[in-house]
Order: sequence, then C-alpha cells, then structure tokens
Amino acid sequence: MSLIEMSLSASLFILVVVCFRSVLLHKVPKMTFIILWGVALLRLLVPVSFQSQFSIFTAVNDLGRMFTLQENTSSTPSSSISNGESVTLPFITDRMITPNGPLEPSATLSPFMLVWLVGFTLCALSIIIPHLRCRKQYLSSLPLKSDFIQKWQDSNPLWRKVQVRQLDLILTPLTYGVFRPVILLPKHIDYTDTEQLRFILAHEYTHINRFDTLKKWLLAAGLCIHWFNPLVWVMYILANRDIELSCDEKVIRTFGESMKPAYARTLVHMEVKKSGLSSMVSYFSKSPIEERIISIMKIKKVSITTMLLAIAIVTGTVTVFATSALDKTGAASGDEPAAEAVPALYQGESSTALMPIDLTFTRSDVPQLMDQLHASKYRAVYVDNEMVLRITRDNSIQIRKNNGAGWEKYDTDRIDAKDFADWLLKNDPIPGYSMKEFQSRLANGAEVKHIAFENGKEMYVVIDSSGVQIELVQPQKIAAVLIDGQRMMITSERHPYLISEQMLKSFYDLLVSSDILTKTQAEQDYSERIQYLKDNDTIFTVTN
Amino acid sequence: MSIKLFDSELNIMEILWQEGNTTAKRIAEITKEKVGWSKTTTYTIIKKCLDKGAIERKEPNFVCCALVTREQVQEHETTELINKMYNGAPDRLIASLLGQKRLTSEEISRLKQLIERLE
Repeated sequence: MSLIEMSLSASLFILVVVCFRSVLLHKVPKMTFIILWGVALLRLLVPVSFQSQFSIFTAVNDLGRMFTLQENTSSTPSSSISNGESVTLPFITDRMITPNGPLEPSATLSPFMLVWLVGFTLCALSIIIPHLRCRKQYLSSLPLKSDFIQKWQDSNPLWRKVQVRQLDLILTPLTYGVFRPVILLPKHIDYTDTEQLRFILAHEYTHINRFDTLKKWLLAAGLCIHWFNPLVWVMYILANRDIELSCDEKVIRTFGESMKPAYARTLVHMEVKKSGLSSMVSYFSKSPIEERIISIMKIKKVSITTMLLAIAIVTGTVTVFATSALDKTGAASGDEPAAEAVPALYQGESSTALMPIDLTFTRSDVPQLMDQLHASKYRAVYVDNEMVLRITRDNSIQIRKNNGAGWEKYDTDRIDAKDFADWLLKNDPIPGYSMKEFQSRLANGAEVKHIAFENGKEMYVVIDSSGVQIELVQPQKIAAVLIDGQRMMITSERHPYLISEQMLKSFYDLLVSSDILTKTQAEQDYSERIQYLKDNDTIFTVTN
Repeated sequence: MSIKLFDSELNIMEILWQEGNTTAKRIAEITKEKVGWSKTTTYTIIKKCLDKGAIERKEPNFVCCALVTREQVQEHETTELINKMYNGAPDRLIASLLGQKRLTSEEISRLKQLIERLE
C-alpha cells in the first residue's frame, strides 16, 4: 500500500468518526472515540491492512465490477488498431513524453517524494524544536515541598516514579516525559486549596497512567507523515481534545458525579489565569474549553445501553470502514468471464520512447510460420546484430552472442505481473497486438521474466499456458527480428527506418537451424516478407 | 535599581546571598543536591543571571558574585509571559499556529453560567 492509498483509506474512516463524534460526543463513554482514533492512527501508520467481507471497499469494488462489466459488453475494444490491420506502427512523434523508464526500482527521488519530504521535515521540525525549547525550560523547575502532595502521591502509587515540581514559567499544570513522568505545577495556583490540588493531580495522574503523552506523540507522527491530508489535521485536533475529555471523564468517575461543577469551575479558574493560548480556533464547532465543560457536566453513569451503543459503534465502524476490500482476484476463477480481470486501460500520458520501431505480423499474416513454431522445440526466437536468442519449450532462455558457437542458458529476474501490466499500459499503449488480451493474460497469472542487456536493451518475457510473448525495450533503436507465440516482429533502426535483408536472412537461417522451418519453407517465407515490404510499406526501406 | 528574575534565577541568587561568592562548579553541586538540576541546566541559568546583570563573573575558576541585593529583586509576574509559553504539548503549538484567542472576562462569566445551567 502506498502512502497516498493509506491516507485515502484512513480519510473515509476519519470522516465517519468525525460524524459520530459530532452526534454522540456527550452520549457514549469518551473511550469510544479514543479507540476509534487509535484505529485511524493504526491505518495511517501501519501499512498492513485487514480484509473484511463487510468492508465498504468490498462493496465499492463490487459496484465497480458491475460497471466495468457493462462497459466491456457495450463498447468495442479500444485496441482495434491491432485487430484488423496486420501492420501496426507505433505512433511516433517528436512530442514524445519522457519515458517512464524500465521497471527496475529507481533510486532517484520523484518530485512528489521530494515535496512530501519537505513537508514532513517542516512539520516535524515545527513540532520538535519548540518542544525541545520548552523541555529545556522545564529542566529549570524547582522541587515542590507540600505535605498534601506527598501524601496524595503515597496513596496513589504508579509503577513509574512520578515527580511533582513547580515552574513559574507555566500557567496550567502539565505532565511531560513518557517513561519518567514529571508533573509541573504553575506557581500561581492556590496550594492551600486541597480540593483543587486533588483534581489537578488526579487529572495528571490519569494522563500518566494512560500513556497520553505517548498517544500525543503518535498522533503528531501521523500528522507529520500525512501532513498533506487535511482530514488528518482534523483528526489530530479532535483526538487531542478527546484525550483531555476522556481524562476528565475518568477523574469525575473517580470523585463521583457530585463533583462535576467543582471540577468544571477549577477548569474555568485555570483558564482565567492563562488568558493566552487557551482557545483553539472557534470554527471547529465550539471552543475546546466550552466543549470540555459541557462534556464534564453531561457525564452520566454508563448504562448498559450506552455501553452496548459504544461497542456497536466501534466494531461496526472498524469492520465497515477500517478494513480493506476482500481480495477477490484469488476467487475469480474459471466461471467468471476473463474480461472482468482486465485492468482498466491506462488513460494518462504515455510514452513510447522505450519501444522499438516495428513492423508486426500476426497469425493471420504468417499462419505457416506460427504453426511451425508451435510444432517445434522452441516457443520464441530473436535475432539482432549482437546476439540470437531462443526460448525452449520448457521456458529456458538460450543466448548466443556475436556469432559464437555455443548456446548459453540465461538467468532472468522475476517481475510482478501487475507492476508489469501497469508499466506496459504507460509505455506501450499502442502495441502491435491486442493489449486487452495481453492484459487479461497478465491478470490471470502469466509469469513475467526480465532480462537486461547492454545499451539499455531489455526483454520482458511473458509466459503462460497460451505461449510466450516477448516485450522488447529499445531506447536505442536497433534492428532486430523476433517471433514468439503471438506475432512476428521486425524492428528497425531510428530514422531512416531501415530493415536489413541480412538480418532477416540470418533470422530465417536460425529458424532452419533450430528445426522450425525447412530450408525451402524458409526461402519461401523470406521472399514473401521481402515482397510484402516492397509492396505495402512506405515507411521502411529494405537494404542489403 | 530593580531587576526581574524568574524562580530558577532566584534560586541561584539565594545561594549567592547565603554563601557569598561561589564558583559555578560549586553552585552546580548545590543545585544538583537541592533541586535536582543537571550541570548544564545550572550553567544555563547562571548565564541568564549574567545576561540580566544580576551577577558578575570573576576569574579564575568562574566565581559568581551577586550584583544585586534581595531587596532590589522583583518576581517576574507570570502574566507577562503568557504569549511566550505554551504547554509543550505539540497540540498547543498547532493551536497557536491556527490562531489564538484570548478568553475575555465575558467569556469567563459565560462559562461560569454554563456550569450553573448544567448543574
């Protein structure tokens, strides 16, 4: 899953949580939202997804399938160029778009990646630098000597040692440090008001107990990574508020509901002291402090109904919106029409710069040659001025270089068929064969092997039960002749488009020496090809 | 002449007023024991006192001498700092980035009414 995909799939989930929150904030335990935000964060940070049959994305896929199926039956295939006509010349213009390059993972940063990195760095620095500056100031805090606080700490032990200190630079109590937490109290609060002190300490202890500082850091990490997604910003703000609300709720449950007004007044009292950065932007519904007070005042005992509602919301939202679609490609077997598996044809900008300039003959043009190939020991044969290549019936690749005597077996890399399918749509949108058929073979389990040669010459060998097909990559145009299970292809050098008789001859010689054609058949076929080129083609010139 | 000092700076001054001229090294030892500061923190605060002209540095051995008396020092009013500090939690920063709003006295009383209404 790419970052964008993760961001998008989490966005829908965030949107749903925001909706639930606006309706049910004061009705269900706040922990509900903490869990939901946690799931959202998991989706944003962990690239693993869980599949569910009930996922909204499964439903979307199913709908999508229905539509593509309709399209397939109603419209004629778009790659009709290759169906009727036998000779197809890739569309070549000077306005060629930069090639997308071979399928190898490239080490260079894409511009998108660069923009993301800049945003990420800015976002991370703008959080970390002020934080460190504050942490440095927190270090100058002084120990607080209060018998009440000491007693309170002794009666509320935590497994992490908690220090309570005082700092005159802060205006509201705060806690920092995940593993060695420190509670900092401002100087101005009334240290004789034990009720207020108890509220404050209980609140901060709840934060410590629940690792809320860690939660906030994880949220900040999600924000930095997905800085380009406005919904993640919304989530960041609301989740931070919900951490506070949930903490308030816990304190009220500890002290009892009768303490709600006193606790809320303590909060307002704190707000009076810090008149500065208290309020968040007001356009997120209510101001946070107002939301907090309403939330505190509306805290009720959790009834079975609200608890069940909360559980239903969490499980329902998570299964429907936080899971990904059931992977149905595995299930798509024989009974479904093959057309369903065809990925949508690529619509965006394309580049044929990597592709050879070629002349293609299909089965209807060269039936005898095709039949003879199928009857032979080989599935494909390729010739250019540097090397000859054969693919045997058991799909092993043999290469003979520079007219050497022996054949060498060649090792190949395996390429993911789906990646190759996408790459092909981008780089060879107008091929000399049926793209639709080829794509459906790739989608239905064809194996793709990759061989890279010198001069940027590459071959992708697609193998499935119906035969072998070679996709040739030639950034530097060189003359070559090839035949595979699908077609015979003659490629020419760049302008002037010359096809060498000599090359064609050596191709037929190879067919003869590989026992694909007899000498007579080869001679006959050769003269047919030459004749065809002379009669029908105005682009290519046959030379000696 | 009067000078405004924070509690951390006052803490250093108290040592100087009690012990007289003291080396920075010795101050760091005292603060480590009494208030749990690291050496770096102590030196940072000493530097701030130097910058404010509350103490003077004498060589050798970085001896610190108080330049002001207890009577000349005023506590810094916390309200003056308000806009400089945020709680250190990242969300506070974002809040300040998105724009901040002062709570007016009307808003405070409105919040108090809200509590009464919901009570």
